[in-house]
Amino acid sequence: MADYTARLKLRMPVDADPASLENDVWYNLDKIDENINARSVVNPGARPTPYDGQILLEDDTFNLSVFSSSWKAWANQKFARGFIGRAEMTAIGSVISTTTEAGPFMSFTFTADADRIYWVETHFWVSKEAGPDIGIQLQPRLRWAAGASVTTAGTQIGGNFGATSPNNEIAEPQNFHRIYEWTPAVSAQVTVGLFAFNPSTNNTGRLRANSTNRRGQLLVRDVSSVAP
Amino acid sequence: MSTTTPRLGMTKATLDESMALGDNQLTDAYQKIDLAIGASQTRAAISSPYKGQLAWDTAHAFAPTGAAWVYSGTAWRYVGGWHDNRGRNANGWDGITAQQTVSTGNKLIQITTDAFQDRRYLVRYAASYRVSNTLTDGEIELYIKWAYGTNVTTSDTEIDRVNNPIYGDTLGCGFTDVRTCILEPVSVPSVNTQITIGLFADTINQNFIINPLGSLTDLDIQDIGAKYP
Repeated sequence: MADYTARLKLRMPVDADPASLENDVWYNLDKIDENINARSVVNPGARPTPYDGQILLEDDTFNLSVFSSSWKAWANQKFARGFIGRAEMTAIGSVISTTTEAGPFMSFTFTADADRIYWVETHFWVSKEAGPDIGIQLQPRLRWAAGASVTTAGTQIGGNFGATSPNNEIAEPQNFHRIYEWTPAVSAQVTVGLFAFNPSTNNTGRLRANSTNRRGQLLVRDVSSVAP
Repeated sequence: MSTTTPRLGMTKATLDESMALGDNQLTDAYQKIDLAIGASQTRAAISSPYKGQLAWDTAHAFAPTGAAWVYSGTAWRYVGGWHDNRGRNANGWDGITAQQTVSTGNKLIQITTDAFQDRRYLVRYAASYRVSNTLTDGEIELYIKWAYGTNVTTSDTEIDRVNNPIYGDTLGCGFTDVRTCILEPVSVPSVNTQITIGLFADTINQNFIINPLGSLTDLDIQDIGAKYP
């Protein structure tokens, strides 16, 4: 009696069995052809009887799964790809004049994917520099542009928010932490940078940093695909 | 008339055609199977991919160290690679909720975990604090140190530090720091070995209370990909 392989059930003639071109070659080639690499099926209802280690691609959802006692998700375009890169601000920023936007104080350049969503995490310190009013409120602005640099003409990510240092102690700045979601929608080199606008008509301010214990940071993460 | 299989294109003679075992068709079929096993080719080398075909190459910006791809029927889809984030390390998180008073050189949390010299790690820490019991100004510095082995002290290597001045008249007000920093273990004596990271605090002018108002102070370490391309 012919035997069969464990996984694909390929027919193997044994001993005195006459080899059958149909059963021992062509049907086997069909099975190999169907199962080589990832077997493609339309939806979960069409899943074959699995074997441990089998790889399956469900082409309507693009779920790539591997069978190990049960089907385990291996990859999907929604999966986060995580950390992309990071920049630091290690020296005090320039004075930001009244009603002026300045920067970038930190920037990071990488190759974006049009189908991906990114989070940009920022951490920075704000202080008043001079002026008659108590404290200062700066508006940090995250901007991006195609290419290896970004200016105040770059596209803003997210909205404004007030970063307030409510005192006159310029050596004792206040720290802020914010995460922005960003979909650049281009597959190209892009640069993202942190700027700050000073809405005050009286006071000047700064983003403050040094190389030891007040290092601003800007961190980019891939969190998902745009497409479902 | 012979036919071909839809994916690998293996030729199958019809049953009424004669074929010797050494026939070129069988040899050709085995060569195609051999080439197709696993992710054996780069995407560029595959001119007509089939749905479900796997490939391996390095030609992508976010996977410079090599990646696997699967063909969806319309495009190559990223499957994973050496450059991928592997997420939080085993035993890579700890936190405290019990209130404690700190002065200088206090170790708040330490984590011991396996590390690899060819991987990079993102260390994240968060601390909630307030001034202790006076109306004078104070400063708190939180910092991260790491060492090989199962313990870390203030004399070990520092990888990040954050300073925050707090005013004495904010007594009762809680503040929070959230920071991340990069750890790249170098010269690890073996392929992988245990390291320990620690969150420490120094204070200036007065003591601080960690974890005021019942919030969490914590520390974690995550694998963020291969260090070398």
